[in-house]
Amino acid sequence: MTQVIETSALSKHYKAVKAVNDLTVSFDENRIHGLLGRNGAGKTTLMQLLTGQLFATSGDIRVFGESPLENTTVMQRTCFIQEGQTYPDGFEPRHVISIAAGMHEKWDQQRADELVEMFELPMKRKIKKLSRGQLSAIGIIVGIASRADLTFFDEPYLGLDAVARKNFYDALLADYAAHPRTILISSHHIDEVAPLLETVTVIDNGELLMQHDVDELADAAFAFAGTRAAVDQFTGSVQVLERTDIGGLSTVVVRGPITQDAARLASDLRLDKSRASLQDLFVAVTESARKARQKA
Amino acid sequence: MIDDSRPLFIQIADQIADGILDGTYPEDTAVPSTNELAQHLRINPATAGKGLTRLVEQGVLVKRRGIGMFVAIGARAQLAHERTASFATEYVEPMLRAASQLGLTPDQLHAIIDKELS
Amino acid sequence: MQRIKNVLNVHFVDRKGTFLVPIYILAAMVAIVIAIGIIARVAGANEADLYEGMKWNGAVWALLGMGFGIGAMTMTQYLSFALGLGITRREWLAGSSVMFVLVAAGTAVIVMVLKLIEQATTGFGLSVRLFDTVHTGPASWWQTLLQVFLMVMAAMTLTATISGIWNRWGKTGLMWLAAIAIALGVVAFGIGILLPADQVMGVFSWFGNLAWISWMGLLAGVMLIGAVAFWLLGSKAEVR
Repeated sequence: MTQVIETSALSKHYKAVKAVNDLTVSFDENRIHGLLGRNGAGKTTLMQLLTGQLFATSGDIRVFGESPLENTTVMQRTCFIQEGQTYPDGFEPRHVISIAAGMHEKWDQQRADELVEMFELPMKRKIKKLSRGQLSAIGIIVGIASRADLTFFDEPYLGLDAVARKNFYDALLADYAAHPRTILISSHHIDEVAPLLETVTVIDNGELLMQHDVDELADAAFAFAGTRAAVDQFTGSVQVLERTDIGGLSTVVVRGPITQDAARLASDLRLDKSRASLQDLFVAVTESARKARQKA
Repeated sequence: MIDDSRPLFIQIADQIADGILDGTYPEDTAVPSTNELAQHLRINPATAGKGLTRLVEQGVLVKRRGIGMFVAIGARAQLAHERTASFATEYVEPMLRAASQLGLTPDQLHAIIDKELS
Repeated sequence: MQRIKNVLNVHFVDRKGTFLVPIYILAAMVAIVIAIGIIARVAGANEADLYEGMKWNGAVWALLGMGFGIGAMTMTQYLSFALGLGITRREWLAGSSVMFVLVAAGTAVIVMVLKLIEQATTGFGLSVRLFDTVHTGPASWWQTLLQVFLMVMAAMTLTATISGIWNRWGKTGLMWLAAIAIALGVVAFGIGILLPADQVMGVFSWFGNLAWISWMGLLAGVMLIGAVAFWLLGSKAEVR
């Protein structure tokens, strides 16, 4: 499969912070990718580097095979919906929509109009006076209607209520189904976006923790719960990602796949086995990375 | 509708299989397309496609080029046969485990089943 | 070309903000000056004296305030918005430069036309002056055109540069800029004190005696320095 984005040993360091650190990662064409990480993990910085808004400290970036920096050919095929995008004073949603429409060759005005209606976005109100959710709606409308070959959504649904979020997912899936393209969605609300994603990339502290197809993740982690003594006996034979103890009860998240022996042992020890949700796995992976960092 | 115990694409396949068994999708008729399923369930189209592909591989669905996926002739019998085979492990074993926890004798268990059947 | 048009669209899409506000400023200026004229008449001022005295009226400088605003916005709010939309720095600088020229030329034409009207009607029939003053250049229309154009251009490029310094180095950058400006001032003042008085006066009279065209040269130099700095800073700008 063609790689739309490739980075190698990419770093963006500020005085005290390594926002992105030695990151080598790639993203396939025409899939919906999830970029997951805690707040401050480096998701936004990575997206800003990929869209040429920031200059890398070191390392290499290829987008559509070229450097995105000052590259019109690449940028014309890209649409970046930023979290907390600022707009000039006095701007109204219709101004933003009109500018975006002029910038994207594949812009679909009819889709844009539908979405404006769907989100009930007031087109002639000052952007400063809009709610957080309406601000997010502007980004979502531009991101979907632009129909760019590569679209970044950075935490796209902040401030949206449950109905508006469902509207977003419906609109995104419908448009993606009709016009497949590469989409990167960053999020820290994981389980809700998980079904939309085809791949999951977790970064933490500016570094890559894991990258998987969602289907592979089905067997990536399991949770076992039972009495503390039983869990103690069980954990000798498996790789534990995270453990929580409450009184005499314990839960462990374990890296999959689970061997038949381990499964039988768990059943003999009367442990409850369940597939870990993406959120559980994410917490477990980032927590164990944090602990490893603290030890080092 | 979507739970966490099994991979999403397997759940999709099972949902369609349920539909074939209960007559929602009769043999030789079309099942929902990948995109219809994806939008209806709010999931990634690739995942929905994988669920359908799984049923094609099992011979339950057949692809008709340019039209879509159809329920294979004999699919219902095949599914019923497979489900019968797994019926013991999926339903009877957990029931027996629960029965032994309650200390039910085999006779008492038979009596309960007979009563439910009547 | 398409991308330059996109940049111009970013600048001009807010028609109210772009076109109405300058018209309001202009209208307010005219209203104030006319009010002064009426008050002066009521107070019994000599009409000829009034007309002559208002030659020094500097209200037209308010137009520069607009230039300052545009210059600053170009390198702050608008820059991060444009980069966010996928406009490259070079496209932004090129498009914004075109915008600067359009705004400066537009302002120059408007001021020139108003100046001609003012001259023809001897101060709108009220013996007031707003556009036909020493600040808009000597009598010929093309000199007014050039002078106003250069003044507005210099205002925009200089403030764009200062905003660019802020974008690049933040508060520290502005503090350095202020420190350098103060240091230069102190040095100039020191030289002024140390030098004999007649030499200091000589410097002033040298400036005072500069021909109009030399002034224009100076103004053009300032504008060029601003423009070069604007490009250098802009091509390294990151989003803030």
